[in-house]
This record gives sequence, structure tokens and C-alpha cells, in this order.
Amino acid sequence: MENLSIISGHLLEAAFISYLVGVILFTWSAAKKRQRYLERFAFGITAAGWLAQLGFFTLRWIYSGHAPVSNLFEFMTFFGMMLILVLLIMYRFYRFPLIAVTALVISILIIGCAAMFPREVAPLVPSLQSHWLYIHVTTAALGEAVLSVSFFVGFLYILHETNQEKQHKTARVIEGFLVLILSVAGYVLLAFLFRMFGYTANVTGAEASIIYQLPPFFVPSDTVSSPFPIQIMVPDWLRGENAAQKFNTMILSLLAGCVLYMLIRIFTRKRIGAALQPLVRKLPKNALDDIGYRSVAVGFPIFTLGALIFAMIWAQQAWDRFWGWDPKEVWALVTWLFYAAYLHIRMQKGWQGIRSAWLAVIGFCIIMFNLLAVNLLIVGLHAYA
Amino acid sequence: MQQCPFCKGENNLVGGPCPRCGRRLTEKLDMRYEGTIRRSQQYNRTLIDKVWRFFSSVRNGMYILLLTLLATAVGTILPQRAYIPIGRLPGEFYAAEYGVFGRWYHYLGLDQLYSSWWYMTLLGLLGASILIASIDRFFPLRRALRMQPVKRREHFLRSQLYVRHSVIDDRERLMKNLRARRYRIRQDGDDYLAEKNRFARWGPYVNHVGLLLVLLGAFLRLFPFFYQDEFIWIRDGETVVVPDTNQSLFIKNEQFIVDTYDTDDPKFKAAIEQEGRMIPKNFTTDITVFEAEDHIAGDTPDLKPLKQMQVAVNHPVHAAGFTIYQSGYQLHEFSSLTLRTENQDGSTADFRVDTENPQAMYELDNGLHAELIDYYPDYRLEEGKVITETKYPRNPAFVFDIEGNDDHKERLFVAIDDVVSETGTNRYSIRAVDYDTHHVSGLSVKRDLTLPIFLLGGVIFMIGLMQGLYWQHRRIWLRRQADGSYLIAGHTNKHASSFEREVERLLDGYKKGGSS
Repeated sequence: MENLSIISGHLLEAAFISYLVGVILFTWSAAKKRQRYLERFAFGITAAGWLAQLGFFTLRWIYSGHAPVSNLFEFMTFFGMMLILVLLIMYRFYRFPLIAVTALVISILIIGCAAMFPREVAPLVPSLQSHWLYIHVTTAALGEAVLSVSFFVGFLYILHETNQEKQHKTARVIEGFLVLILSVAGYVLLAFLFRMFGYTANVTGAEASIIYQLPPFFVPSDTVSSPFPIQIMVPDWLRGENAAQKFNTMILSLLAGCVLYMLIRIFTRKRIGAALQPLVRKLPKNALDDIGYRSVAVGFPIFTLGALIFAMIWAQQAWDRFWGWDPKEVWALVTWLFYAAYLHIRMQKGWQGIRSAWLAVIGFCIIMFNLLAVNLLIVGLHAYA
Repeated sequence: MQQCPFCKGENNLVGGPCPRCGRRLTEKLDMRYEGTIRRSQQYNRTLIDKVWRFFSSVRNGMYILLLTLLATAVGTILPQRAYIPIGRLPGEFYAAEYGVFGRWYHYLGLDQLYSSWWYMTLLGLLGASILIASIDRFFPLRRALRMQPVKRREHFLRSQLYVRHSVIDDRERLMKNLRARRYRIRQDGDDYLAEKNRFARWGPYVNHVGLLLVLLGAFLRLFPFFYQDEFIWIRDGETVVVPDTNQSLFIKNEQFIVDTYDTDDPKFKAAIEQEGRMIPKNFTTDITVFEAEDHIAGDTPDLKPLKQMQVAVNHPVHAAGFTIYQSGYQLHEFSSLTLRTENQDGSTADFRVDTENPQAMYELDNGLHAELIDYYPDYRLEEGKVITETKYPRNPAFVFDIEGNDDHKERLFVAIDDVVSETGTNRYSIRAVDYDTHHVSGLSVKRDLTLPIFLLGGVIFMIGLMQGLYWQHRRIWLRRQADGSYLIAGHTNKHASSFEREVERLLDGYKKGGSS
């Protein structure tokens, strides 16, 4: 039995590496003229990685005795897996390597972040012991994954349409957004490196001590001693659970993101948006717009079913009320209202193209907010806190 | 300046293609409601017309929806009042934990946002918008789609998004191919109308009916007939009446069981260590539900056992029209405290205080009398004052006046781990020496007749959503021209590009002689 857990861990690593290879190959085939074999190879590697991740999921399920979607690590890896699944299915219809690259990059970052949360197999508390756990979570994740496709193509659409010749507001917003994405990559890199070398720093406070996995630049205001030479006290009003540590991680990630961004800029000698634009310009923009709309049209019912209806049926059983204004519930409702607005505005007001693309970007931000921020910043009932 | 009917952008080039969406401005028809007139566009005289007009506008509906969205999000910035720690006063809690912002959050009522009158109003406005905008469009659309002639004017056809000229040699074959693509064909003379998936047009109306049912369910919950929500704490072995049932329903807790996960289980060992405490595996209460026989108020009723069953988390049970949920528990509540008093001569006497019904006076063997002055079932010190956090004996404390035969009186505060003399002199002493505990099971007893309405609303909403989003209403008109060729026009309510592909394939496949 013990072996199952170890094998499943290795399968996840294999999947992660396959996705990395897949991203490189897809980027290569996007940069070159259409080369069928390269695309096929990239697709094959990604599909193989997905199968490996499916193996990880299945073995972990067998080992733990419950569907591995019960904590943040498990949910985020599962969400990544759903993104890849949607990508693989979509690629049969729309063979655009760049969409695959975008989807893979986001999945890799999500799975990378997932690995930074506790990975132990945890037992289920009574309220989670229900078949609805995997019915609700898997459908909700699938719905969110399909909705995310509208972000991938929307973002490409914006890259496609933005005038990079002039100093333009949109161009700067794009760069800012890329810095954010690079910061997530920076976080994964930093956390991975420091974990590899087994770094920990024990910061002793007046009441409790906190163990940092990254160098503790920012420490709580009541710190007594810290092993690190630089200590910046965080302001007094930051006093949620481990607020200083989270703040420290956030600032370091942003710094790492900026460093990565600068490196790329030095290398390419222009804005990243401008460097990517020649690739994106090869894509037919009407097709991008079309895919974006379709993904919302397909994803919205799945999301409604999984994240609201199934969720409410289960909540009624487990918590004796189907709706309790728990932050995670509320943000599922916010997501739902937002995409409902997207569909109405698009169908009734004819917002297409660039405006629709921006809405898709905002929608994805809301999904990500619900995935991470609600768990890390707002305390709620959901298990992934 | 003119408005482009497709992308709503301002447009300078009258007659030319719209610079934003590329479609021709003057030539295409707005087919959204088949170009029919809606009530809201006809009348604008009375107040009712104006209100109707306001709510029938999708634009206004979107403003209401976005306001609702923002308000909903704002409610999660700080925890809602229902989620703040039990026993904390909201006024004090928000200011203490979140400073000035918290104070304002509480002052503005955002800590109870979801039950505030203005949030309710927003939901009501949203409902009105959904209802009126749907009615306003449904009837004209139905009329237009029902009375569709096969023959259309040339101008109407030329104003469609898809227009093409073609010579059709073998009409039968084309019709066969169209039928194979699930088109229904009507013929009028030499003209044809092929149509499919008209039901998709009703999707939005169906899903709006579902949404209105959900809102109706939420409204009905305000009435106790539809929604009754009771909560009872029952000790092991105790029988408790369910409140507001006219003394007719009683529940006995036969046994409450808590299981925790084995800390030595190699599978979960790491996770349990990480958690730092025992992880519960199961909460179950064995209960018996009793129905009271007819009795006169005030009498002890005769209880008739109705059902014996097991309630666990995620496994609610049904009895007497109610659903019973395992929804809370309290381990090791104090059932009694044994206190030991000591007289000044050193003689001691023990007495037991029942936490449920403490006596007013205890006569003790060593000649002392203890008079109960105050009882705090769940005491806590707050700013030097003793308060009780709940009415449940989780941390009981008592204040006794202890008096000997010589009329000397001392006031003593005693809790499980603490004794304070309030009068200063200490001839007598008191302390807790023993205690008994019991488990308490928290059951939520609910009758909710709105649940079927919500479920029905949800099902109808899903059906409508899929109906409207997964199918498209597509029509192809074929109009015979004077020279024998055909004018072919097509309309789809969405996903124009795949419709165009379908029509192209149909016509080309037909030409090549293959079947599509």
C-alpha cells in the first residue's frame, strides 16, 4: 500500500515534466511554420503527461480511500488536470499551438503552486464523507476549466489587437499582467529551490514562533529574534493568521517576477507583449473570439451544475442548509453572476472581440480569486483552508 | 453619427461596413426578436408603461445584476455576523479585530449585508427585471416564429447575414441532405424554408422561469408554514421537546458517538501530525422520536415512540414531517461538580451541584450552609468581570454565600480551576474536587417545504440553459428567382461561423453529388 503513494507521487512528477516538455514543443511549433509532426509530438507528450496525472489521481484515490479532491493541493492539481483535458479535447477541433501554450503555462503554474501546499494524504472529516464530494468538486472544476479557455483565447486576442508600436495604456496593462504571471512562476521557483536545499528560518515572536520556508525579510511586529540579518516589521494592522509570512512570500514572489521580467526584456529587447505579437498575429482573430464565446457557452451550464446546484444539494445534506453565505459559496455566486452578465452583454449588447476578451480576463481573475484568495485571505467553511 | 446595430459602436460610414465589427450597416436586419415590436417600445404614456419599459431593458437588468454582484462580493471582505466567534458582541468584535474599517463595516450594516433590506431589494429588482424583460420579448417572438411564411420578400432575405445565389439542379437531393442534417422543410410553390432547433430560442425563457422559481422559494421561506428551523441540544439519555411543535414532538438521545481517526494509521499519520490534533471520523446520534398523545397543556404528556434511528453527519433522517440533521456536538460538558467546603476547624464536607438544576441552598454536614447566589454555566473573564458565554455548562462557575452557625458570612466564587474570595476574610474555603461529564449532541430539526421548489427551479434552469446554449436555431430560405436560380439566405441565432460552414458544406456537397 505504501508503494502506491510513492508511485503516485512519481507519476505527478512525470506529468509535470511532460507538460514542461509539451510547452516547449508547442512554443517551438508555434514559432515555426506549420509542422505537423512537431505539433503531433507535442500533443502526444502532453497527452502522455495527462495519462500519468490520471494515474497519480487514481492511485491516490485507491490509497487514501477517497477521491483526492479534498484539500488545496489535491484540488489544484485536479483543476490543472481538467485544464489539460479541456485543452486536449479542444485541440482536436482548433489546432492552434499558441492556445495550447497558454493553457499549459497556466496549468503548470497551478500544479506548481499546488505542490507548495501540504501534500500528505489527509483523512476526511465527517462533513466531507459523501459521494457529493467528488460529484460536486469534479463538475465545478471542469466547469471552471472550460470557462478558463475563454481567458486563454481572450488574452491572445488582446495580445493580437494591441498596438505595440506606440506607448499605449493597454500595452502597459498587458506587461503588468505578465509580471503577475511571472511572479507566480517566481514563487514556484523560489519555493522549489529553497525547499530543495531544505531551508527553514524560525522567527520567534512574543507569543508564537513561525517557521518560514523563504528568507524572512518581513517579520511580525512582535518579533523577538530572527535568524535572518534583515528584518522589516510589517505594519501593525496586518495581523491575520500568518499574515507577515504571507506578506513576505508575496513580496518575494513579486520581486522574483520582476527579475524574471527584466531578464526576458534584456534578452528580447522589447516589451514581452511586442515580442509575442508576431506569433499571435498568425492566429485568426475571429476564430479566437468564437472559441472564447463557445467556451463560456459550454462552461457556464457545467459550472452552474457543479458549483451551485450540486454544491447546494450537498450543503443541504452536510450542513443542513443549502446556502449559508460562506465566502467560497459567495464567490461561486459572484463568478456565476459575472458569466451570466458576460453572456447577456455579448448576446444582447453585441460586445464582441476586444471587449469580450477583457471580460474573459476579468472572469478568470474571479475564478483564481475564488480558488486561492478566498482560501488564503478569507476564512471559510470549505476544506481547503 | 449612427449606431451600428450589431456591435452598438458609433459609426460614421453610413452605408459602408462598420469599422468595428466589419458588418454592413444598412443592409442587415436586426433579427434578434425577428424584428417584432415589443410592448415596451409601443407604449410610454402611463407610469406603468414607464416602469415596464425600465425593467424590460436588458441594459438596466445588467446594471442591477452588476450592482448585485458588487454587493455580494463586498459582503465577503470581513466575516459576516453569523460567522464571528460565539459570545463576541458584534459592535466590539469588528472594531477590535479590524480597526476603523471594521467599525464602519459594522456601522453600515455590511456585517449582515445578505439579509439587509437593500440587498433584498436588489434581488427583488433583479427578479422584476428577469420577469418583465422575458414577458416583453416572449409573446412577440412566439407570434413571429409561429407565423413564419415560407415566402419572404427579397429584401428580407438579402438582409440576412448569410446570402448566396446558386443554381439548384436536383432539389430533392438537397432536401434529402437538409433532412439528414435534421432540418425540417416547408414548401410553398417553388420556395422552401428549412428550419431546425427552433426550441433553442425558448432556452432563455425556460431558464428565467427556473430562476424565478428559485427567487419564489427564497421568498416563501419567510413564512413559518414553509420553513421551520429548530435546533436542540440533547444530552446522552435525555429527552427533549422540539420547540414550536405545540409540545407534540420529542426526541431522545439514546447515545452520542464520536469516532476519531487512529493516530497510528500509517496512511494518515503525517496529516494528523500536521494538523496537531485528533481528526474526527464520525459523529452519530442514536435517537428515538416520540409523538405526544393528546394531553392537556401543562400535563406531562404520554409519549408514543414513533421511530428509532441513527443520525450522522451527511446522513439526515426524516420523521414526522421533519428532517433531522446531526449538526453539532459538545464533548465533556459538566453534568455535576462536587465541591468540598472546609470550616475553620478543619472539618470538611462535600456536596454535589447539578449543573442543570442547582439548588438554591445546600445544608452541609460540617455545619455550614451554602447559598447559591450566582451561576455562570460557561464563564469567562472579560475586562475583570465574570460573564457567561453560553447557557451550556461547559465551564461552570458558582458564587456561594457560605455561612456558619455564628452568622459569619463569606462570599466565594468557585470554578473548576479557580476560587476567589469576594469578602476578603477566609474562615471558610471551597474548591472543586470532582466532576461528572456527559456528551451533548446538537440536532437541527427542520421542515422545509421550499426545497422541492428550489430543486425544481434548479432543474428547469439547467434545462433552459442547455436548451439555449447547446443548440442553435438555424433557418435557410430558398427563393426561386425569375431565371430559375435560387436566392439562398440563412439565419442562425448564434455561432455564425459554424452555421456558415454547415450551409457551405450542404450546398457544395450537393454540387459534388455526394451526400453530406
